Amino acid sequence: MSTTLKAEKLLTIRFSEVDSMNVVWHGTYPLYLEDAREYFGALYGLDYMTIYNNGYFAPIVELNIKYHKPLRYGMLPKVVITYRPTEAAKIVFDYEIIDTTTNEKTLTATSVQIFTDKNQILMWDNPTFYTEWKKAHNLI
Amino acid sequence: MENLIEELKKEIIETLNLEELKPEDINADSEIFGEGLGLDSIDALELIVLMEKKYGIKLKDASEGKAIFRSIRTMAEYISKHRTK
Repeated sequence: MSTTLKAEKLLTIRFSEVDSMNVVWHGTYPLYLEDAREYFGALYGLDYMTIYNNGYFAPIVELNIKYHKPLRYGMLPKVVITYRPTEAAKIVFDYEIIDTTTNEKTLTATSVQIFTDKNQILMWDNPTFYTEWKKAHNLI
Repeated sequence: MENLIEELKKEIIETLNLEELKPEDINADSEIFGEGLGLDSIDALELIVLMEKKYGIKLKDASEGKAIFRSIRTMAEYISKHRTK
């Protein structure tokens, strides 16, 4: 049994995020994606502090970004973040950034996080709290 | 054992999307991590799922896993001894 967990976060483009070509600098986007992750986490109870308080870190080990169209200062984009179910001890998210004025997709991305303990040792198995979280959301 | 080794090569290619590799390109005795196949510890997380789903083997301990995942042959040897399906 599986469901799709998804959230949408509106972005505000800061003036300082635009580069000399008048578009949002490519290095800015990982921060937008992180904002979306935090928003998703708060919404569904998979936030960084919950992970931390259960004794784990969840660092990013993979980030894949495709830039389809530029974003410019003044545009009103949103990030759509979708949890991708996985059996491995990973958190995988897919992202789309959409210009809410035209509904055009400007970016797609995927991130992979793994779990480490507080000594930064890689967890091979899903932490119990994470398995419980998946069950609570009908993901397994 | 040889059949299991061939099966594992295919499974690993599929599980980890190693599309550029063919089973015959993989030496059963090469290191899976580092020099040989060039996989990393994050890839091991998928191998763990493979072990559990396909062979019914639950690995808990990373230090134990290191020896098991040394090469395709060591994996096959471990699976043939401990498989529950």
